[in-house]
Amino acid sequence: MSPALRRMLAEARPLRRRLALSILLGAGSIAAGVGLMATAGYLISKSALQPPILSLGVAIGLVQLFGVSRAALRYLERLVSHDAAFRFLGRLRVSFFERLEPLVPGGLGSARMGDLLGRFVGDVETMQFLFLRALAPPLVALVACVGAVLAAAIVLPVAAAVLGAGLAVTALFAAAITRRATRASARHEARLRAELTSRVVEALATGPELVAFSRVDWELDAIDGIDRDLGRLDRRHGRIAALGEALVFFGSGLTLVAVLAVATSAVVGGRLGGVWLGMLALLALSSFEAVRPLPLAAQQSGAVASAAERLFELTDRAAPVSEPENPLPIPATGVLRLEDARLRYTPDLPWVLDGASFELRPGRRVALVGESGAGKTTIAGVLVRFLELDGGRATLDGHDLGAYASDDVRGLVALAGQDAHLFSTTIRENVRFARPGSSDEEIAAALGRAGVWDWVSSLPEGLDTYVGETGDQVSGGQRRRIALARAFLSGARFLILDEPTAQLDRATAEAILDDLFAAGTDDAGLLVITHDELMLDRFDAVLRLENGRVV
Amino acid sequence: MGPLDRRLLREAPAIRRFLYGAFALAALSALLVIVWAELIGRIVARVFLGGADLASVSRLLAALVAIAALRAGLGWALETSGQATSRRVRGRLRRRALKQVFRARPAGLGDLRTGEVATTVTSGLGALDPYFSRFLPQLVLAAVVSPAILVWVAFRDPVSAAIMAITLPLIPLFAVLIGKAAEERTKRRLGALSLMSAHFLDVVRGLATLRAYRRGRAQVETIERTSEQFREETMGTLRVAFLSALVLELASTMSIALIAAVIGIRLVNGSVELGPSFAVLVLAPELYLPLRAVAAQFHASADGLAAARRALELIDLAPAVIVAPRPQSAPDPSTAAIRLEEIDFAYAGRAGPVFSGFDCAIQPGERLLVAGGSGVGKTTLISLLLRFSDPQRGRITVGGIDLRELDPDGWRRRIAWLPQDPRLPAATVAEVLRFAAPDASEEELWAALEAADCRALVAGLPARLDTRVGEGGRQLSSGERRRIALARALVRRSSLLLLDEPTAHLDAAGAAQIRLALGRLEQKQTVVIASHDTSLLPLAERTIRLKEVAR
Ligand SMILES: Nc1ncnc2c1ncn2[C@@H]1O[C@H](COP(=O)(O)OP(=O)(O)OP(=O)(O)O)[C@@H](O)[C@H]1O
Ligand SMILES: [Mg+2]
Repeated sequence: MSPALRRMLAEARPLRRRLALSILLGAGSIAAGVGLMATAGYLISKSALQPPILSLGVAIGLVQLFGVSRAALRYLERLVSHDAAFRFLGRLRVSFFERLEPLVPGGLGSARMGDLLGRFVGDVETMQFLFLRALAPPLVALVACVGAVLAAAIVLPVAAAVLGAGLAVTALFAAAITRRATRASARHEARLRAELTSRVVEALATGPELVAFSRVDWELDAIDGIDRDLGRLDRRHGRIAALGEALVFFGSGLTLVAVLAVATSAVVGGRLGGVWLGMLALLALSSFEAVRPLPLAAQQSGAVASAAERLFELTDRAAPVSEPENPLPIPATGVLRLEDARLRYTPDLPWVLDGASFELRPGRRVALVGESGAGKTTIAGVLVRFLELDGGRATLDGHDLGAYASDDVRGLVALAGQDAHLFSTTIRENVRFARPGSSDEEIAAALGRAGVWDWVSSLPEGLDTYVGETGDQVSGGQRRRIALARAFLSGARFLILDEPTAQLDRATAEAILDDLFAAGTDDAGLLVITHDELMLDRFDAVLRLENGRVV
Repeated sequence: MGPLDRRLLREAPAIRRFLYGAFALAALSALLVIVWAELIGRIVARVFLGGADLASVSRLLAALVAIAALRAGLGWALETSGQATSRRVRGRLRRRALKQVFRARPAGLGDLRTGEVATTVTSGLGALDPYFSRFLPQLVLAAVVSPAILVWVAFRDPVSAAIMAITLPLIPLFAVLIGKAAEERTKRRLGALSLMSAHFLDVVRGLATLRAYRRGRAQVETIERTSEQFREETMGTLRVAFLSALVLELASTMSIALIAAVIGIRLVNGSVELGPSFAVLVLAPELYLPLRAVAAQFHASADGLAAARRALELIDLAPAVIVAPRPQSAPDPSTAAIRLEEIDFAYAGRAGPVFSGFDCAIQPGERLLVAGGSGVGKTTLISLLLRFSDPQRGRITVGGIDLRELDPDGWRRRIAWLPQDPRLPAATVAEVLRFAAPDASEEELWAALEAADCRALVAGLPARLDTRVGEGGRQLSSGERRRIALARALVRRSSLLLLDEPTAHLDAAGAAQIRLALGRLEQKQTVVIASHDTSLLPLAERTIRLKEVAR
């Protein structure tokens, strides 16, 4: 068993009772099915000898009992196993997200959005087959087959031996063939599947550009290309799975013939009463029901293992910042300082920050300027603990930022990021999450400070207006200002605003800044990253980032 | 919900071919199973009652082996042809659905959600596999083999046939059960799945923002909730499916038990013979086998079917703009004037119109600056020119021809566009640029990069033009991304250049570079620039201020 699969099983530990129960129920159901056919075979053979009717009573009763219990046990088994499988998926989604969360931004490296969705939906969904197809069927088959062989042994040991050998050889052979044929390509398949999802998500996200540049067909061709590769693999896997099933079917036929042959010679040799012949035949035939799902199980265990690998591969990445063991209590306020900070994204890239120093005091208004790509946003990332410095220090109140819990730091330092991401929900929810429980008045005030309340209040649905996916049903400037309102609502002591007035006309931008500086009660420290040279004279200080240093 | 969808049949002719083949295979397999059962009955009777030895039944045993092999082969053929059909159908549906989504929502998904559409066309349609490779074949077998067995048994043993016939009405009952409960449920289940993936995608896209406001962890709860909701919906569907499977199982086992008992009693009376009776007993489970398989596969295949229906809904989306049945070829805007005549345009669900009776002419070769405050309709004007939507009243003409008379794609081929919020595909720089001009030479790429002031940026990348940028590659700052997107617009040989906020996120020096580049543009191009940036004013030959004109 692969290590990834073993780790996945460990994740499923809390559900092991349900699993054991479902395996017992499954084996019971198959045993009842075998019992039904065997007893029926015995019953009619016995009847052929024309004994008194009453002597058949037990067999008739047993047949009914087995009949009902097979159906009932199967029903229960399905309920229990599926419930367990879906509960497991729920847990997995949560634990996957919990491990993913600290990796954003910065820790995900090459993972793409669509790829994440692919893993979250596709690979996690595949995990339902961990029990349903990969784990349970072999265990059920083992229990049920041992039972069937033991039952046969009571009647005729040599027939039991033949049956046991037939079951074992068929199961192992069919499973081994499917497994061998699919193991190597299972990973490839999982990768292709995720790639398909990624590509589709990306195509949907870049839709307007695809349409405007007449690239829709080209993009669809690319998607079809992935699908074709996937189809080729699917075809191979499907054929092999079908072959596995055919092998089981053929194996059951051969075993039946073999059992009939040894039983026949036993009857001829007087070692077995003729009435048992039919019973043995039907017992052999029906016990193969346990073996039937095994080729699929073998194939699925490969798919499940590679999906598990992909999930762990993602969540095992190291978080970009570490949390302290015993975080310091966060001070109510203090000085935010960067001392000789050095940082680069990967060792093969040049230094982005190379000895940058500055400080931000409560109540001070500081502007940070610099060329596009100079590293302004990187500084913001350091100050809210999204990024760890490679050298130098970032301190709050004299202590390393890393000594505080990063969520505490973010409570004190709010960042209105440059990308101005809106969630596909209402304007209200898009602002409110910055301080849960805020009233509509507070939200309106924050939107007002961001210069967008007039527009919001003019909308027929006001705060309830849906902004569209990533905010694509509001204009660029409106989106920016709604995102900005969050920082105002958060009530943090330090506000870092990354280009708050980009894409805004002069009048609106001025109004926002007026408001920002006029708020007399507000002695928050303010760091504004901007390109707008015209507004610099309003600030207490202007820092320029050049070659990784602040000048 | 019928097991077969008429619309689906029309959409994918491959299904019909598959069904014909399946019926032929099923007829063959009915024949084989009857011979198979008769052989077993004969062997048991001869050995048990006739005292035959192994040698005398060896020919029969050999025949059994041959039939087992044939039946296994038939099963294989049925399943693999189902898989092939599934691959064909899912590829076709995916392509058509995506294509229509782009046609219906060119400016962005609007009311649709990326996560939902993506899961529908990937893992959703993937679930067509069990539908075609298992469910439908078993359904065909149920329609052919089961009645054939019934007829045969009626001919051999009318009493047993009567028992079978009594249980048969349960089958339509089962169909009704499935039809009623499952349609709603499966739809709801798929809805819950879509919600979950759409939500997850939304959260992951905005995770950095959530974390900045300490709301990352809080999403765990939502994920737990949507996931639990999904489990409940799923278990709801499954309970129905399992219950109907239980009914069928019970019908099957009870009738087998009953048949065995009744045969037993009649054997005691001496009114029937062992051989044929045993054959009937072997046939009884075979009668129910496909029905049971149909019930067991129902839930897996219902998912695929529901996704296919959703894909059909997407295919039925109304296109965003009318396409003339006989489109004219698009006039060249560098020689023909574009006129907006008495335009009315409003977004659904918004209070006022964006344009009302708006008039404007864009002369060939002109540089037009569209100015105005945020949210006034600059981007909307550009998207009307791109024909992402048509005005509700009035018309836009080029060279006197209404845009509605043109083939949208042909018109867009004349246009290059810099979106306000460019989304670059995850690809190399060269691929990103060739997105707009597939056959541009390397020199042309460099020239465009030069013009967009990002020659130095790209020259500094490790693999220059072949460096991967964006998601999963070298991350670009906002300004860098915009400049690459500008280069992409410039490399396209277009006669109408639409630039939305070309200088946003750039500092004064960067903006000056862009101005310079725009100043150097070929004279033949008509250029429309939407911007609040007043420093672009000198560049334009003419400026329209939207606020005054539009409202
Ligand atoms: N898809 C949409 N659905 C509904 N309303 C929309 C949609 N797109 C834009 N709007 C609204 O239409 C109005 C005009 O938007 P538009 O994007 O054209 O403005 P703009 O002038 O480009 O503004 P900005 O300078 O902020 O980019 C805005 O009020 C906006 O909220
Ligand atoms: Mg705009």
